[in-house]
Amino acid sequence: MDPSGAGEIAAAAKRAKPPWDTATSIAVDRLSALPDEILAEILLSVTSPDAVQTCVLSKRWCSLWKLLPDLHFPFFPKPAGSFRDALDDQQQDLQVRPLHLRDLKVEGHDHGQGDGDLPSSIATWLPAAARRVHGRFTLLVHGDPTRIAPDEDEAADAAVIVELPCFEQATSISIGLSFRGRLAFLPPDVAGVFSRLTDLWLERVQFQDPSALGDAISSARCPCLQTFHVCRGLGLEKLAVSSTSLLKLDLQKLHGLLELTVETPGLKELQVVDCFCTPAGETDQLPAPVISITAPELVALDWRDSITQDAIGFAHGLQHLRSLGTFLFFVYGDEDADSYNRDCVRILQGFRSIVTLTLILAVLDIDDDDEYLMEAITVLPDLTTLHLVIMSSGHCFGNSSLHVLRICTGIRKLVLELSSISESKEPCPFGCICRQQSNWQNKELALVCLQEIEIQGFGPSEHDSGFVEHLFDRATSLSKATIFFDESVTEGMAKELCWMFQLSSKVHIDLRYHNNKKVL
Amino acid sequence: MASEKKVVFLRSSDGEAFEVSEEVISAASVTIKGMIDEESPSRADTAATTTLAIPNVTAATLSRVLHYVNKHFDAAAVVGRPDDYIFCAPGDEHPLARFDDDFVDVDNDTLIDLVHAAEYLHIKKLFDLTCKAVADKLKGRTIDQIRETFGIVNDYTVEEEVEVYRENSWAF
Repeated sequence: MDPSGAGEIAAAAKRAKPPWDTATSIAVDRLSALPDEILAEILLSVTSPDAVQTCVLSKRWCSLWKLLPDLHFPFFPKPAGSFRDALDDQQQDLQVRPLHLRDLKVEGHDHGQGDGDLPSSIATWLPAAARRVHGRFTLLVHGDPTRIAPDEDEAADAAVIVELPCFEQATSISIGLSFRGRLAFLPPDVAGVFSRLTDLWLERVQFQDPSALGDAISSARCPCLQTFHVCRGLGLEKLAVSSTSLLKLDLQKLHGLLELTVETPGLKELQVVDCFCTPAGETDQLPAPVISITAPELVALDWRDSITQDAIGFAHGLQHLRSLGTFLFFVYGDEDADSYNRDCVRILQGFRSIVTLTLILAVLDIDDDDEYLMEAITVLPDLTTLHLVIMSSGHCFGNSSLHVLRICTGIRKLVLELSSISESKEPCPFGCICRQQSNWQNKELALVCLQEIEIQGFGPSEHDSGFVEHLFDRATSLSKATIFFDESVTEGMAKELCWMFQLSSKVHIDLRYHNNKKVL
Repeated sequence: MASEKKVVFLRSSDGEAFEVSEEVISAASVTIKGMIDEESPSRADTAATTTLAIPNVTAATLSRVLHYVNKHFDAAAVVGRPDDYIFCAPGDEHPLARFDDDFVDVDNDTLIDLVHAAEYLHIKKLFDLTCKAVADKLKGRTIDQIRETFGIVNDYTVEEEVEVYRENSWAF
């Protein structure tokens, strides 16, 4: 730096304190002399709490953190009132330019009773966040992910209502409450419009009003909403969505939902997972849901739920569908499973041709008197891509997978997702009936059109290797192959498998670890 | 081919001139590209090499900046596999990561000179790198350690400091 530079001196003179002292050799504070914009840029690279804490360094630093467009707090700020004031204060402090938050994220762990006031503390600062955020807003309470309902500890604060204020300028809102408090939507007349919101994501939320969510996301309140995702919402009996802007609707695990009405003329993708079916472990049969969906432009449907008459009727009316995913198909089971499987087949039979089909074969707990149910699938739509998911708890799956592949020999791409359900990688007991079906290697299979294979979750088990080798052997026109190993495959194993595949296959196979890193 | 490359001279605030490839510096610095573009109509007539005055940057800093620029923006200088360099997958270590680490491993004054220069010359990659390096010096340090590291004088009165702390206690 040139201390005699005129520009520098002029700049320095503007500040209360000269940035350096030429008379002495004392270390001078050149950092504080940097312009606001540069200091803000520097503070963006430290954590938000650290950035805020610089306010006590000196007067120069008092409000610098308030220039940051992105704030991420990995804890719930306390006291909540001060956090609210800090959020509100930001605009008043800076006369130069109105400052909006591009990205505000607050997330923390749920400490149960110790955080008894968590919902009310969130409710305190949420309105201030709504005023400030002009981009993305994220609020996440991290709890035990295996919990699917609030426990007793939370019963006390279940009555606390967290009102979702109007984020007039936010483009994306993600809220996961781990079932703390009850999320309420203001009545439409006082609520205001989420005029820029395109994405709304809700998880583990208890809803205050069983029907207000539908109003909140419909076009009148969210005119630009394109993507809506809700997973594990409690207290939602009725959901009626009417939106002209919605492109993607994702409803997962809304246990207790009885009525679903969707009117979305432009919807492209719909996913419904475990909303109407009886949750595992419960025997009481749920009343039949009322489903009414109007989505004429739908391109992708993933229906992993009860297959009712309504659902079949809706699916079969879709003219533009290119991608279809269905609920589990049980490879072994009793009469109930068979009757369920046949509903699954009925959905499939409504389509003569489709681009991508996702089929999930479940080879889970097998009882001694279970039957082999694959014969129910006799025909599939014409396909380009088959995404075959195998959910297995150590059982053989060669025969059932082969059954599917032999029906759709015209596929050009196969995605085989091997998903192991059991913790242990132990194979099933020797007398298991899945082993009676182990003659699959002798059955004919010709995948003459198959050009691309992608295998995900490949593990070191015998089933996996045997079946995959067989596939490569029969896919005679293969030009591209990728295998993603699962977490259990170590570097040594990967290299060994690499050798094995390169020897047996005519095409080069791109081998990758589960984190997408290439096996070298 | 290298001999045909046009060069420009950059004159530092303390009068030292540095030669650099016009192509390389134009790719790196928005500011200098602007200067060259402005000059170019008049340059077409003469064969004389252009000298641009960089009044805000000293020779010591400018030579460091040009070292960085030649390493990062001269495709010919990128050793090994240029394709890998350009299409570096996220997660792969950047081939110049080591160079960058060493480059910013300097004393505070030098680093802040580089921040200023990168900002003035509008070299975004270098600006991001140097800002991050300053941020790294703030990380994991207490308020007192930061004050000491950068010579920041606490000009709050005790009452004021208590008040500022109180207002922002939610972040501590």
